Amino acid sequence: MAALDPADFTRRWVFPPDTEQGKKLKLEAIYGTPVATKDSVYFGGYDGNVYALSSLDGSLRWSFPTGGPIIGGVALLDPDPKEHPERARLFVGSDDGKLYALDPEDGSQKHEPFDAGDSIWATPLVAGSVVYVPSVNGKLYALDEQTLQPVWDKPFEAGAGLVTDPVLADENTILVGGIDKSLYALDTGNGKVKWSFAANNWFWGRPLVADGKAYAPNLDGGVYALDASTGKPVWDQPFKGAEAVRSSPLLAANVLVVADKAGNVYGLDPATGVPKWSGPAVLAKTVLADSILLQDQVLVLAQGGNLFRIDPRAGVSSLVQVKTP
Amino acid sequence: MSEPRAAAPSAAKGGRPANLMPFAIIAAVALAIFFMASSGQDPWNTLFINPLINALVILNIVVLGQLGIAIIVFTLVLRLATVPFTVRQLQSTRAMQAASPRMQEIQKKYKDPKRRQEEMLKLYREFNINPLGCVVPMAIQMVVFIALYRALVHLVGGSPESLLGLSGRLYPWPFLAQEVPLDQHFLWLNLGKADSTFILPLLVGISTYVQQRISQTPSMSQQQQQQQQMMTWMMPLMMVWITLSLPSGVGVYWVASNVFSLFASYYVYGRRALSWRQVLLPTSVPAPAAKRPAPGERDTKEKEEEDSGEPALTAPRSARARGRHGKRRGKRKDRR
Repeated sequence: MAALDPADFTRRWVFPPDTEQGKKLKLEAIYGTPVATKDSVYFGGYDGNVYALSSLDGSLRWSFPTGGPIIGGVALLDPDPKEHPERARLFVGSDDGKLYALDPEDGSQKHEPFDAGDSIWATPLVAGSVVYVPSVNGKLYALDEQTLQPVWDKPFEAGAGLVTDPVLADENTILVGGIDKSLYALDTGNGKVKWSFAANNWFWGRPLVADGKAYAPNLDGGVYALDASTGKPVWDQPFKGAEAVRSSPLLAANVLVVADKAGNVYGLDPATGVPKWSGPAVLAKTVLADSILLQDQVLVLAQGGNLFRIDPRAGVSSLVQVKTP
Repeated sequence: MSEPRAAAPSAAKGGRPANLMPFAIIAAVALAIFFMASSGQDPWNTLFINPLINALVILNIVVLGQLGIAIIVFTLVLRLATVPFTVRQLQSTRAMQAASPRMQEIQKKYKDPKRRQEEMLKLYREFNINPLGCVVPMAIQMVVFIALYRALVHLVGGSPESLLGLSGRLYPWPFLAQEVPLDQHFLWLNLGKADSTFILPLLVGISTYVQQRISQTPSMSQQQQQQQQMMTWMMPLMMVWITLSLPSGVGVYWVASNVFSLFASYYVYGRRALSWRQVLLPTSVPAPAAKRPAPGERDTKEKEEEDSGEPALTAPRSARARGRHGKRRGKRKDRR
């Protein structure tokens, strides 16, 4: 985990630090996107620990051990820490099948964890007063954010594991997909299916919702643009990349930027799905992580730690040279 | 307990079609690979990896989500399906043991390589030895070993991204997708990762060593014996080293396969062939035959010996020793 200066990509700090004590920490991998506040950075490690670092210098504020590797990200409920500090929660799902609700201040558990019955690989979604948690047993649970008690009569159950990070299509609709090759739009009130869309392979990347459309990446190499309220395809045909698409698409300068697993980055017209660039930007590295938007520039993190900057207008890529202080 | 069956020196009934079977299988596989490659498909994945992945997922469902048990069941099913080849290999090994003194004799007697080869071929026919008999079981074992490694990398690769490769390999049957991701834990093992406790590599090494010792053919010279002894140690050590770096599931397969081979050896050779002496003591170069009987004389003699329970003179020393023990036991039985 490194913090970079967005102006010149100078590394401000790195965790674990390059010290004797830091070398003893073995995070193994970080899969989920970190959550940053003014004071802290929160993330889960594949070593099973949740970490809270100081955003100023990357020093460890606290860590919390779960019973299995953490594959998804963390979700922060941070209403107004000054007025309602007791309501703040940090939610994290673990491969041990439990959803933990931690105090962001000190990492203590606010409740007994919720047992989902099977591994949790996705990032929980906090919306309204409900936290939504998908599990690889194919169930999506809606839980009260303060008590972790189920809100729906019964959880939604898909045909196979749910692995995408759930997102809101609108304030009453939640999108989630997974291994049964379907993307589901569910009523946030009761978990009933509003519509579903079947593709050729698993949905694993988080769909992007913008302007009433859901752009859903799929491991068949396709990106599907669907009407968020009906699930009907918006483009004449889905866009087909060369390889599976795991990372979430991103809109930058009215270009839909999509990176496939092989490191081909495509710039599409979000209205039609037609490529806007003359060809893909070829990074020649495996890309599985979600891209980051930084002042109209797209940052793509490849496996191995290489960071690329993409100009969404021209489709030109360049390797970011991270400066060490 | 079953006695070790006598090495059948006479030609097997219907031996010729059985001899052709390995070649027929190899030819069929080669043809399938050729046709798949020419139609633009990847034969390795289509013929081996993907069916294996789906078979393991189905077995995983059958054994209630225990992938380790699924691998063991798969191994047993595969080994049972190839039992004819395995038994043939073991019988061939035993026939080699029985024919060993005669081989040495031929080596000494005929200096002309062509003549020597002719005599050896005659001997092979006489003892129904198929020098290629062990090729098919070994080839199947090695292909499955490599395919299983690749399959496990996709099934339980030890990291979530390994499942990306699995997504396109599962057959489009909904019940298969329901099983994913598979539980990687079995006993103390994470089947997707190498065993850091060294217990599994040790089991692999021991079972491979025992298997090597039991399936050894007698050496005809000191040099061959040294080579064989080296292989007896090298193979288990190599397997230990491989297991240390491969997913544990591959090691589970190898141990289960070796245990099956032990049972198969027991079935073919009998209990005495699996004695601790056979496994632990170093092999010795068999003594040359005292006398080579004329074919007619030999048949009569063997028949008499079979009736009396005494092995043929031409059988190796170890076999004779086993025969003597067998006779003593027989006498004890008579006394009772």
